[in-house]
Order: sequence, then C-alpha cells, then structure tokens
Amino acid sequence: MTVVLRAMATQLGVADPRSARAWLLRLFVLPPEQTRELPGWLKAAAMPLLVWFARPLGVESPWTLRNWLRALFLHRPPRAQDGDASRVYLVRALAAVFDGAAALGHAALAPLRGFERWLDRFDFSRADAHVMAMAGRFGRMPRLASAAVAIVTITLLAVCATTPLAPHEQLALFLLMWLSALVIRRMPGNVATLILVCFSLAASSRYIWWRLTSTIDLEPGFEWFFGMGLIAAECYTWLILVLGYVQNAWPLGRKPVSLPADTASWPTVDVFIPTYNEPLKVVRPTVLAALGMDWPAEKLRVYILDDGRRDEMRHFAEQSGARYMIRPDNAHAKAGNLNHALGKTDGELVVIFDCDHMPVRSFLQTTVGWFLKDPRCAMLQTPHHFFSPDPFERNLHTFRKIPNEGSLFYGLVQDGNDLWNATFFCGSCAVLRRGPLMEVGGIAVETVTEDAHTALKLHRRGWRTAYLKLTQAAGLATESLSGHIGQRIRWARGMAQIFRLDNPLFGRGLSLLQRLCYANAMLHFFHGLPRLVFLTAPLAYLYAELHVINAAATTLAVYVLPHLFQAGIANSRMQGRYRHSFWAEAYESVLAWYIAWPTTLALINPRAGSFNVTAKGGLVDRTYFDWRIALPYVVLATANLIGLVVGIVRLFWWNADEPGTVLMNLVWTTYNLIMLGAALGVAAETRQVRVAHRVPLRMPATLYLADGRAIACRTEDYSTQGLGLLLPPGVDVAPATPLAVGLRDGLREHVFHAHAAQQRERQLGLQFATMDLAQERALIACTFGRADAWSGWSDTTPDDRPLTSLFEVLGFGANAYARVLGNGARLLRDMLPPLRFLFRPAAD
Amino acid sequence: MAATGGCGRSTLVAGLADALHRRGRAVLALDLDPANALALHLGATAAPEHGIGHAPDGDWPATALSNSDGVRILPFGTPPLPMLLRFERELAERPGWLREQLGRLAVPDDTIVLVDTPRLPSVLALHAAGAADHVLVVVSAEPIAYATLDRVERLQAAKARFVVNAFDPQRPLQQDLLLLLRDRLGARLLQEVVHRDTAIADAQARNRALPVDAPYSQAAEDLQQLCTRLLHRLGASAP
Repeated sequence: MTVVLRAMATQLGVADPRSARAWLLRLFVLPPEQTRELPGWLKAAAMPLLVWFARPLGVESPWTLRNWLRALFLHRPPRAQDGDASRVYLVRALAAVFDGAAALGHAALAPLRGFERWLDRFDFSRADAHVMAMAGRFGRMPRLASAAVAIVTITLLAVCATTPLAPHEQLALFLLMWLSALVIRRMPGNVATLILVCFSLAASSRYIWWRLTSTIDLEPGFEWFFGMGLIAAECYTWLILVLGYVQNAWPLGRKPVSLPADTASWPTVDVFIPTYNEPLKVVRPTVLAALGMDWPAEKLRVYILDDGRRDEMRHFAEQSGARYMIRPDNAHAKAGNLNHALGKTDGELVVIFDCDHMPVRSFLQTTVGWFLKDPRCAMLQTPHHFFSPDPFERNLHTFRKIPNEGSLFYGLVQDGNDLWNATFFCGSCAVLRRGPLMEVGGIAVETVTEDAHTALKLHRRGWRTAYLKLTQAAGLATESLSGHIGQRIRWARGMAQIFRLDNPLFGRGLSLLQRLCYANAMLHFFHGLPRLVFLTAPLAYLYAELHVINAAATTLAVYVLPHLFQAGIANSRMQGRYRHSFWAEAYESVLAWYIAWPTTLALINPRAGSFNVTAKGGLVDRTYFDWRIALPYVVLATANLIGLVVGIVRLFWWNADEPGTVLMNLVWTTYNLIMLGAALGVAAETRQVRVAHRVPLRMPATLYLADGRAIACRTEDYSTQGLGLLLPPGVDVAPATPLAVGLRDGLREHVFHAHAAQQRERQLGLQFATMDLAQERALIACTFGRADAWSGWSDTTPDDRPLTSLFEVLGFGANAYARVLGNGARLLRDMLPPLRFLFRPAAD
Repeated sequence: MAATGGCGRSTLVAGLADALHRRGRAVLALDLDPANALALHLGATAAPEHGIGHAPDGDWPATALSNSDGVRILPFGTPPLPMLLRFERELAERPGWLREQLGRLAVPDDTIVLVDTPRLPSVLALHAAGAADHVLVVVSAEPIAYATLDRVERLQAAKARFVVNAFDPQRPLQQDLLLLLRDRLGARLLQEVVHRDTAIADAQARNRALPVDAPYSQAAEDLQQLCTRLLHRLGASAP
C-alpha cells in the first residue's frame, strides 16, 4: 500500500505523501515543472479583457483568482462611495456589462477606424479655403440671384426627399451619404457643416416623406390612433430639426465695438436690479458689482427695484450709493416693476440684471459700443452664465465636464439668431435703448416670458437686436430640481402664450427668417408631448402587438437609420461644443412630463394659470431621492422595463415569426430606458456641501502672517465667504490663525482679514472676517468683477464624441436605476421590519 | 538713492545684486555710503575696514570682497573722520571723479555696477547720479518720503525711476500714499513694489541670501520682478 502510494506520489509530484493538503493540491493543480504555457492567442485575448474588467470592478491585481473573488463579493470598488450594498453590486454588474459592450463595439469599429486613420493623412484645409471662396462669391451675388439659388436648392432637396427608391437602393444611398459624411467631416469650417446639414435634410426628409406616404394605416382603430400620434410626433421633430438648421446655420460671432476716446459722448446708463423676495446677501454683491462697472460716475445710476419693500434693502442702498425704488403695487411682477422704474428715470440706455447676476467691470465698455455704432440697435443680449452647478450638473456630477442645458442656447442659438437679426431678450444681462423700449410700451406684460415678447415687439417695429457671446456677468443657477423645472415650465408657458397671443408667423414687420427663428424658439418648448409619445410608442407593440408603423422592420431600418445617423452627425458637428450628442434627449426626457401639460394648456387658454418666482440661493442640505418629481419617470421606466421583458419573451416564443419588428421595438425601448435612467439620475438630489459656491481662479496673492512674514502664493478658488490658496511648500498654518491675504485688482492690492479654516497639504482654506462695505466692494472688484473672471470657463469641457457621449448617458442611467432600486429597497425595509434580515446593511 | 534714511536702500541694492548674480549676470556692488553697510547686507559678518573711502584714487581692486555666492563688493570702509571729510571735500571739486575711477577699474561691458549711495543731499550721491546710466530712487510709502520727494525730483528728473519699498498694504495710510505717489510720479514710479516682509531680517540674522533662506517670501518674489524690470530697462535680454 505504502509502495503504491509512494509511486503515485512520485508520479503526481506530491511533495509530502503524508499531507492530505499536498494530495489535494496535486490532484487538481499541476506541479510547476509540468505546467504548459497557455496558447499565445488565448493569452493575447484574455489579458486585455481581464485588465478591462478589472478596472471598473476594483480588482487590485487581475492575476490571481482571490483578488477577483474579493473584489466581486467582498470589497467595494473605489468608485461606489455611498448607498446600500445591493446598489454597489448592481452598479458593478451593470458596469461590467456596459464595459463589455463597449469593448465589443470598439472591436467592431476597427475597420472604420482604419479608414479614418487613412483619411487623417490628407490635409482638408485647402478644400475648405476653396469652398469658402465659393461661398464668398455667393454672398456677393445680387439678391435676386441668391434667391434663385436658394429656390433651386430647395427644389433639389425636395426632389431628393420624394423620389421613391427600393429598399436596397435606399441602403446604397445611405452608405454613400454616410461615407461622404465621414470625409466631409474632416474639413474645417462652416461650409462643411452646411454640407452635412444638407445630407441630414435629405435623409430626414426622405424618412418623413416615406413615413407619410407609405406607412400609414388608414383603417380606423387603435393602430390608426397610435400610429397617427407617433407620426405627428415625428413630424414635429422633423420640423424642429429643419428650423434648428435654419436658425443655427451660420452663427454671426459678433465682436465688441470700442467706444470713442471722449467719454463726453458716452450715453447715460440706468442699471435696474429688480428684486422681490431674494435675501439681501444675494442682492448685495450684484449691486456692488454693478456700481463697480467702469463707466463715468455721473453717467451711471444703479437702481434697486424692491418689490419686497424691505428696510434693510433701503438701508443698504443708501450706504452703497445705489438708488432705491419701490412702487405702490406689485402688478405684473418683474415686468411691472421694470416699467414703473422706466417711468421714473431718463437714462439713454437701460441695463437689466437679475438680482443674482453679478456683472464684471467691463460689462458696459464691452456692450455699449454697438449702440453708438448702430443707431437702430435697440437691445444687446449677453450670455447668462452660472458658476454654480444646476440640478442636472450637480446630481449627475457633470459640472464643467459636459456642456449644460443653457450652453446650447447661449453658445449657439442666440448667436445663430443674430445672423437673422432675431436675437431675443432674456430678461437679464442685457442693454436696451430707452427710446424704442418706450415706443413698444415698455416691457411686455401680456405673457409670463416678458423678455422674449418685448424683443418680438421691437423686431416688429423694425428695430435691430444684437448678441455678444462674451460672458460679462454671472450668477447662481437654480438650486433644486423642482425649482429648475418650475423655471422651465414658466418659459414653456410663456412661449406658448406668445405663440397664441402674438404669433410670430403672422402680423406685421418681421422678415421670413425672423419668423422662422421665433417660431422655432416657441415650438421648441412643445417637445413635451412628442417626447412622451416616443417614450411610450414601442410599448404599443410590445404590450398589445399594435403595429403603429405599417412597414417591415428592415424597410423601416433603411429609412430611419440614415435619418438618425445624418442628423446625429450634422448636429454633433453644429452644436457639439455646446451640447454633446444624446444629451438633448436626456434633458428633454426630464422636462417632458412637466412641460407637456402647461404648454398644451397655454395653447388652449393663454390667459389661464399663475406665475411663480423661482427661488435662488438656497441649499439642498441632504442627499435624497425626489420621489415626487421622479414618479412619472419611475412609472415610465417600469412600463418600458416590463415592455423589455415582454419583448424578449415575444422574440423567442410568442412572436418568433416577426423577429425584426420585435428587435426594433426592443432596441427602441432600451434607448428609452437609458434616457429615463438619466432622468431618474437627475431626480436623485445630491447634497450640497458648501454654503457659498467656489469659483476657480488662479492669480497671485500674498499671505500675511501674524509674525510679519509675507508669503507669495496663488489663489485656487474664491467665494463671497472665503478663499482657497495654494501655499508654497513648507508653510504650515494652524487652524483658526488670524491672518490677512492680499489680492490684486490691477495695480491696486487689497488686503482682507481672514482666519485659516483648514489646511490640506499645500492647500489652505481661508474664511474671511466680517467686512465693511468698502472691503466687500474691493473683494468683488478682485474676484467676481474681474473683466476676465469668466473667460475661458468653458474650455474645460471636452469636445463631443458621440459614442463616448452615449456611453456616458448610459452610465448615468445605470447608476440611477441602481439608486432607485436602493431607495426602493430602503423604503421596503422601513415598511416591513420583519424582512429586515433581507437587507443586511453594508459594512459601514 | 533716496531722500530719506531707513527706507531700505542698502537692502534693496544687496537684494538686487544677489538676484542679478543668480541670473548669471556679472555684478559689482559699489558702496559709496560712509555707513558702510552694503557688505553686511551681502553676507559679511563684520563691516570691512578698508575701502573706497580711504583714498579717492586708491587701489580699489585691492579692497574688493566677494561673498560666498560670488557677488563682488567694493566696500566703503571705515576711514577716520578727518580722512572722510577730506575725501568729500576733494570730490566736490572733481565732478568727473567716479566716472574716471570706474574707467580705471576697466569693468567689462556686460558687468552691471550697482552703486549704493548715502541719503540726499550728498556729494557722493551726486557723483553716483552723474556717473550712472540709470537712477533708482527708493521711497517708502510714508508721509515724510512724500514730503521730501521734490529733493530727488530736482536732482535727476529724466533718468530717475522710483520704487516703493517696505510696502505694507495692511495699512490704509500706505495704500493712500501709494496712490498719491502714482498720481504724482506717473510712469516714473515702477509698477513693482517691494513688500514689507520680516523674511528679509530673518535671512540677515541667519546670514543667508533671501532667495535661499525664504524662496517663497513675497519680498524675494518682488525682488525677482524688480530684477526682471531693471534688466528690461537695461535693454538686456538673456546673458
């Protein structure tokens, strides 16, 4: 027996025949001298995959099984920081799936990347110069000739859109356009953008024409009803797409005009800062910044228009040198407040700032030049800039990483409007000429978006407006999601009201393109209903097997894919810097439910409904999930999720005979789930830590220590309350030490007393001591009022890369679902104490 | 030069000599002030006895010193009072004296000679101003400095540039005086100011150069900027 065992041990390579462990090991694992190398191809394929998965899962080193087990079942990945354990696993699993999908997609696109690399070898700038020269010749053509060219182009596009093609021919056309687009995309300049826009117009119009002429089931019934709803939504989308192309075709890029050297010829300026219930600490910096604008003192008057009639506000105005104005009633809210002030003042120009929009010192010198150069210019608008994250940015953690909702409007749309003389007034950070403003009866009061309506009235009387894409003021974004949505509801309602009461498509005084731009600005807000249709349309088939599109899935694909691709390429090219691909859908999905009803109501009865002021300056003081806001999205997401499950069942068992249609609807409902996920992510309110928002700024500063040393350092960020400094190595400041910090405003150095809050390595946080008015003024001049305070702000957002963008939205969606489940689980746990053991709390 | 005492003239000359030397420029620091403090500022542990002050036409190179960083100094020395009085009397009758002496030294063209002078009015300071290509007047943001400004202005209106030293922005009075000075002197007042900073005295106490002892002090930073400005004015780019 022993002999046999020993022989076996020698054969198997068991080191110690008496140890059971050694036997066990050798029964399953080869001794080192007998192991074979893995085949090279397997290793080559496995290594990157292992590494790929290891990172998101938080595996420390991917080479041992133990690490994997630990990471998968015991340890939290470094990314997930809070919440329930259930959520962490879900995030991890979803992340793995998504990363896997990304890897597959990456591999599938390899030949395409080869093609792109080949294209990289060519220089397309010469082609651009050539086309630009052609465009220049077109610009110099007489009016009649250019009109003729426009008519011929539109006719050609119409022929392109309406010529029937067999599906395989349509596919060939798509491939041809797509490959050409890949080449044209390389060309810099706006002409190439316009060519891509034409491609999109052709593809999208072909799709909508085909939908209208070949896919409508005219037999009344449910299919007809849902089909009609869907096609109406699609027509709306097509219309907005086309109008958007017209509006943004050629952003004007207006530059400031310098003022004459003689200040005697500069106009007098009244600055209006209307306020109703905003606290003094919000209004103070704005007023001080307005008073600090570079302008002859005798020609600048700053008015606080206080509808709240507060003594502290009056007192502050007296101290600071601003003028204080109240009125007998609060009729027509902000518009009425401004109109009252207009009646009591006489400056040639009127500047309006919302009470939380702090102008920089160069605001007037940058903007007023155009009023002197163009006597018909009645209004000049500058961007609204927010240095605090809006709810989207805060809850999704995209602040300064992804262009926010407003950046498309102020980055592109208003600049595009400017070409057609259709830039409209946005209520704040704008300069108006008093004459024309009084001519149209002051600020419009008929609608809740008095700003846009006032601009419309000015345009009808032949006045010109201008847009200057230079951030010359900044303020706080709306704090909570409900506030944000409330504001958008107001805009949507107001625009719908104008559309009914003073429709820009009709009436006197407007050019065709002005009408189109205004129409787009207003119709754009009706996206609620169509978006809801898209979010539910695939369910009609998945639930009830209703064919809302009467066409074979493959035929649909060869029509809809070119439309989606070309529109995606054109839009990414046109607005990529201001809005990343797929984010429009994400933003719209959040708002859809809430603005669908108010816009519809305003369209039916424009005078119904009430007006509410958006609250600012607050703080979301805890992390919570806003179930009230999120409910519609939870319902929609659940419906789509059930649809997805039903669809999978249909794919294999119930509707195995039409897999194409099932697949198409599955893809659609998945896309909906992604967008709804992003919407849910926004609803999960993240706690705000800082009371005062910090603005990054790097400039030299001097730190004065109590012992008389002066340390040269630089600032990292600032707020109205404190300052972040980057100290040189070797300087340690104990917490609560009183000290002073010197900041420079041009040649002038201002010193502020402060105490050290906390030091982390070389970063020192300072808390300002109580300041008197002069110091507060100096601080504004050194920080928020700097002419360069906001220049280069958007440089940190990367360019649009559609695929990356899709995966980003996807990631946010996945995270949100995990949070919803986590929150739901918590709710359940709280409601069902006996089941508590199911929700064993996480390690912390 | 300066019209008031204690405004940090020698400190500034020493700081600039050090900063220029660190940038690889050939520097010679010349002490024309009988106070004989420049060598102390540049690292000497005791005031050197022999120097320029002993004889107007003496052998200068023999008394030259060089500190551990390699900055060369010609100290004034501590001549007995009768010798000093004779020295000054003699100079009053030889307006071209300093220029001649520098010629005799055969200083290479690329060497920057920094001359520390006594406070105005002074014969030695007049010699220095006459021989210099550039005159830097050190003022402090104090009332007395503002009140005696015309003394300097009368002397060398065109060549002189002014710099504020030991500036303490925490004091409103100094802030106001700086504004007054800017108003009165216009572009002749350099934009750069040198801050009051105890790091200078600390470095002296430790007998180390300021950029070595407190590289991140505001005074060291200010001297760097002043140095850049002066080199720019000298029309010199990199060595």
